[in-house]
Amino acid sequence: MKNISLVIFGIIVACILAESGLRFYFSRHINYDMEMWKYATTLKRPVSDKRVHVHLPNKSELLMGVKVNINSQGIRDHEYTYTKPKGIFRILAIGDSFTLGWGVSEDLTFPKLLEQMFNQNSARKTEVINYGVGNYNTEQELAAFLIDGVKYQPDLILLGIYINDAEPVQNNSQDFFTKHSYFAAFVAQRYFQLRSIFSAKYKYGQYYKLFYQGELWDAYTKVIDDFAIQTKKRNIPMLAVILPDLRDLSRNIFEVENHKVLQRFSDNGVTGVSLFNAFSGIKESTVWVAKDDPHPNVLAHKIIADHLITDIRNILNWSRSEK
Amino acid sequence: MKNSLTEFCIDFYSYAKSRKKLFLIPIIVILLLVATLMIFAEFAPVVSPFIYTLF
Repeated sequence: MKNISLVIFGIIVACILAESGLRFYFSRHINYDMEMWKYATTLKRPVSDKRVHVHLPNKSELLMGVKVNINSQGIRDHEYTYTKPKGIFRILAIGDSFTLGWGVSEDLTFPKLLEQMFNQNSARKTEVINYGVGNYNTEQELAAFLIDGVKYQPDLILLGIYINDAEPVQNNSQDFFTKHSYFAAFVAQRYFQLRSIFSAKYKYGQYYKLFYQGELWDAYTKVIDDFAIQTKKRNIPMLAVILPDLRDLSRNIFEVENHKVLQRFSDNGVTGVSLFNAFSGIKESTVWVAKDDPHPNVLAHKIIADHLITDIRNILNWSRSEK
Repeated sequence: MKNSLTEFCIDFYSYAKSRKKLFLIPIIVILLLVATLMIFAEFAPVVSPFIYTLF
């Protein structure tokens, strides 16, 4: 009995030491998984509707070394009135962490770069609202648009699509420990990472491709169709933008899946564009936020904005010289 | 190598038991686990999908 008490005492001491050590280490070293966990626990809250989680308004946090400020309306942008001011052309950039600008300063995200480009030497005032929320899939983005995004009265929707956007909504499985403990979150994340190394099923290529087959694909097509119907009903044009996976730029391993998505949007009368070729000839690590984080960095956001501006002008029939 | 490691573990267990220092075993095991995972995290390739279940 005394021996068992000693072992339990040892476990408690070890957990306290591990928790303190990890907190100290990660206060000085940036690790993608731990930063994403921090984002989830400090800037988001669960909701009971289809969005599953939303940003906490008026909160800010330093993530991947970059300040992320959430405004009073729960978006990472300046304050906007829901009612669109007269004479403003408003674009709503809907998406996930790519659109949000994970690891990138607010003004250097592609929605804000587009805003600057549109307003440069132009008499027309354009607002590009960053409506990105990390970890959203297309279904959650549609729900967010219907619940809140539509209030901004957008003239155009820019829908950012990443390969994992077809992944069904996963309910947040955070319990007390994974919500509050660095140690628990760290061990859980390493478990997922190990699983993807040792099991072919969980390698990102295979894992993502599964969502584009059978019932999962059928479910995703319904979301695409619904998005198109809802925007058409409101007379809001939409541009669907495939944001490429930046892990391997030497070949487009998701070419088939991206084509299926673009085709589905096209069948619904929505223009779509894939930005994979915009990154051709570029070394992967030069466009990553960090060596353990393949989110687009400042350079990648610039590339995205440079390519998108032409597509948006085309869809709106705006000429380059239009003032 | 395997034998010497087993021998070391048995010796350490005997030492911890006789000196009433059994609490050291979980401390060492858990801290070794954390250290291994930390090293692994540093060198792991970026092949895993973005993890959403925790976020």
